[in-house]
Amino acid sequence: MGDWMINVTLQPVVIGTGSPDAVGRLAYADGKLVAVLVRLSDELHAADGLAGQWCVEAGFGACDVGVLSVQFPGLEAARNWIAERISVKPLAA
Amino acid sequence: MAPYAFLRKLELAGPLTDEERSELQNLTLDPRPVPARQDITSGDAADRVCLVLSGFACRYKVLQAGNRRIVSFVLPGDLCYMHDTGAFGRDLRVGALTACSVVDIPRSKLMDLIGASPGISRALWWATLRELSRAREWIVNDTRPAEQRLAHLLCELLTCLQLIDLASETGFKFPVSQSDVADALGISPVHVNRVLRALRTSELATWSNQRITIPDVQALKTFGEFDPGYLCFEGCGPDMSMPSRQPLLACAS
Repeated sequence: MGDWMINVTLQPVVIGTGSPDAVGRLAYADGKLVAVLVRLSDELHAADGLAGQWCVEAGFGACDVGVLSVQFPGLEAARNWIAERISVKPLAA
Repeated sequence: MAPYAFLRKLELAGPLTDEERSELQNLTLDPRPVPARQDITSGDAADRVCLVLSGFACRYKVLQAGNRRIVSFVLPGDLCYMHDTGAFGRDLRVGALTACSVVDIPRSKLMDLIGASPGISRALWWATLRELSRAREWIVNDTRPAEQRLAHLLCELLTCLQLIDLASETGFKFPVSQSDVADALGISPVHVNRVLRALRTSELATWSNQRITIPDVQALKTFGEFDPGYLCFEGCGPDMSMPSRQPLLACAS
């Protein structure tokens, strides 16, 4: 199954992390929730140069990365990463 | 100063004779520097045991995906690879987090001392039990939410560093990186930022300029459910001699 067949949608969401990192996206692949993405806030992450990046806060199935910190410069990169992961390990029926 | 931490810890297991203390001190005479971010041994380490005299190091493993997991910190006076006599132990690496001073002790020399000296035998047995006890506590600590997990770790470090005079009543120098702490807690470096903020906002602990400051130690211990019993500072148990109350001037040079 090629990437082009996977429809990844990103739905804006506010995440209650109890921190300034609250801007998020629910990532769906073909209608199934596969990841929760969060935008790293300026307030918390400016010092280490990560502010503005998006990271996988939680992943499911093919997008489960454990505690590995996976970051992207923007949402398109995140979308491509999700599509690639799903293409390697397709969603179960 | 060099052997002080080593002897200070081992004497928690019970009193050492002057001769035993002297034998242990003699093991520490030829240290070598290890730069930060390097493993403290390379190649086959089966024939020697490493003693860290100064600096922060860690025992760790790296998964195929790249995740590093730190399974314990190594502080001054701690032995590494003590029981690495078979291939089963080689997967665990020991890396210097800061510049360290390390002594290589021939395993055969340590075995001779264990055979000849009841006090040293008891002390190294205690050190083994203590490592096991701490490993159990770290497994349990992983069950706690990240804020509590960090609180528990900070309490452990405070307690262990106080023992060897490297911490004040309310803080200690902690020149490691946030990634190191993340890998010790099993959380992402990104999440460490949030956890640190939460502890700072709650006035439980701050980490700035490479220093941990704990305004209210008891509050942090309560929050992190920290009970120092697992560190075995009370010695080997009721059947064995209690810690020496003798001053350590003989080894504090």
